[in-house]
Amino acid sequence: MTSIRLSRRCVSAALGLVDDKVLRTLTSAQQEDLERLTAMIREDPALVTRLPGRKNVLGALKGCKTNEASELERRLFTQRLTEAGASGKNATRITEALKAGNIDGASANLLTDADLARLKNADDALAQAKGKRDSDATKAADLAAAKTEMDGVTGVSPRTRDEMRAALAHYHGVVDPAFSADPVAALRAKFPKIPPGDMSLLGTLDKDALLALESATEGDVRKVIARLKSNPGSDVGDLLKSFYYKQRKPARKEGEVYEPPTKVGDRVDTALDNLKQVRDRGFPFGFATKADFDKFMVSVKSALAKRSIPNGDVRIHGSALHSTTPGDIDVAVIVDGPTFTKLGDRFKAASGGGKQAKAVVDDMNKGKIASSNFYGANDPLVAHEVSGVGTSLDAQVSIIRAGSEFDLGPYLNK
Amino acid sequence: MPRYFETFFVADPMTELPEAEARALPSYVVEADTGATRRMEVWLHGELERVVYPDTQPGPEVAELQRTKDARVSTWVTSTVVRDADEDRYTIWYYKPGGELEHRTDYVSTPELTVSTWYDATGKLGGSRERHYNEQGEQVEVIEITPEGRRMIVKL
Repeated sequence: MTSIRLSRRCVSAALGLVDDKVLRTLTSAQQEDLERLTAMIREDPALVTRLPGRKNVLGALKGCKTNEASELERRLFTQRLTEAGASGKNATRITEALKAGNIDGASANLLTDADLARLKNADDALAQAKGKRDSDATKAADLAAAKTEMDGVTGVSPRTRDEMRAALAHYHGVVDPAFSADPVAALRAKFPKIPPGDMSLLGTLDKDALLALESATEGDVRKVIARLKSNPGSDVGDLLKSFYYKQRKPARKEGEVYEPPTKVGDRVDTALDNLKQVRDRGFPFGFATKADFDKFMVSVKSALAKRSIPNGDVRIHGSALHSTTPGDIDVAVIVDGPTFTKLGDRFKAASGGGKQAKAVVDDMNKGKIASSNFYGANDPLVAHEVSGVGTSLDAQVSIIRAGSEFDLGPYLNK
Repeated sequence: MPRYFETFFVADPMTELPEAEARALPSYVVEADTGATRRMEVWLHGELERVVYPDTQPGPEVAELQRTKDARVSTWVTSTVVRDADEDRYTIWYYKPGGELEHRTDYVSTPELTVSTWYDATGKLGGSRERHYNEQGEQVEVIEITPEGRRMIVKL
């Protein structure tokens, strides 16, 4: 009994803080709804200042599964988005994106109705960009449109607006369009203490390498610049690109949020040190001796030859070159464009099924054919045949078109 | 008049093309014989790449063709497709030029998943493979399973 009386007293005290107009909308609330609202107000007393003017507070409250104020605010925010013309999909995506980006409900509450319409338009543009390849010119236009819409948001501070834009972009699996439009300029603005001459060194990197620096700290950027000075080749850029691609890959799936690489400076340092060790001794991590590695490469070349796949330029790349604990051994069979197309045609002709043929065509468009799509001679897979030879790790074997985005070092040739 | 197709599929509908259009492609398929043992020729870059005997089983008539008319190319024998709701089941026997069996693979295919299990020429299990597809028909995951049960995810 004591606890019930106390609970009622708490409810009464908490509801006493709520604006009268809001209270009048709660007249049909059940005791459990009011207790839930009380718990939310006790967790975040400022919630009461954000409820006035919000429609259907009771409906949002009844939909809550937890006693967290943030859930109520997300539900109210979703309602506002819908009222502003967002579809159910828009509203869900935007709400989830802001949640994933740790944008609090109080900030979202400050957005005007015009801001919400802009958010909806930005979400539409980013949804169009999702899944498009970087080489697709329409993707850049989609990203630019999203940025323009978000630039017009006025209800929150510029910093919060930028965080919202990044959160929304990441939810759609892409880099913040304000960063991807001109990464070096964005880094210059973010780290004004780094000398312009050093910053210009970053301009020598490919864009995809620079995209790995979206969440970089000043320390990260300084380390990358120092390594660019001491390693003038392509290794630094290749490593950065591999960090970016690794993060981007899962985000291509629906519902997976893109998370920019972190601790990039330390990772580049470590990777370059490990890479030097590999090159000095002549074999990658994952092998105990050079003889084991040589045995592996002989088996790879033999497996390729058996399947009439050119084996003149077979290289190791990926984590086995720069991580002491690689997950697998990545083998790249590099071929020129015409050879790549001929092989793809051959695999497609031998695919035997519509979905399988589509997978080959998709791989051809990417510039990388995975061993599972080497149709015509794919039982067992090349990767299966050579896995475990000289190493306890699985092998991944891909045919890569020279110059494609997957033609990505650092490499070790044999 | 022989019929021409873009690509040979065992269980999926094939796209029929006019002869001239088919011949202009890097690869095409021609239904060369429609008699007791059907023959589908798969042409690639201007050369006969493979002959497929569809909707049948290995047998003396096919073996004769493999030893004589089609002795210089690899051949496939594909079974009839057994359909149950959205599931297709069929087998492909893969032969070297001259008619020596390389292996046989059994397929079970639904819109989301194709499982293929292959056996060597002696009938010994070689392994199996799961291909997973999303709603758009894109291959999203391939898992190779060894006869010992070890699962290996293929990077796509």
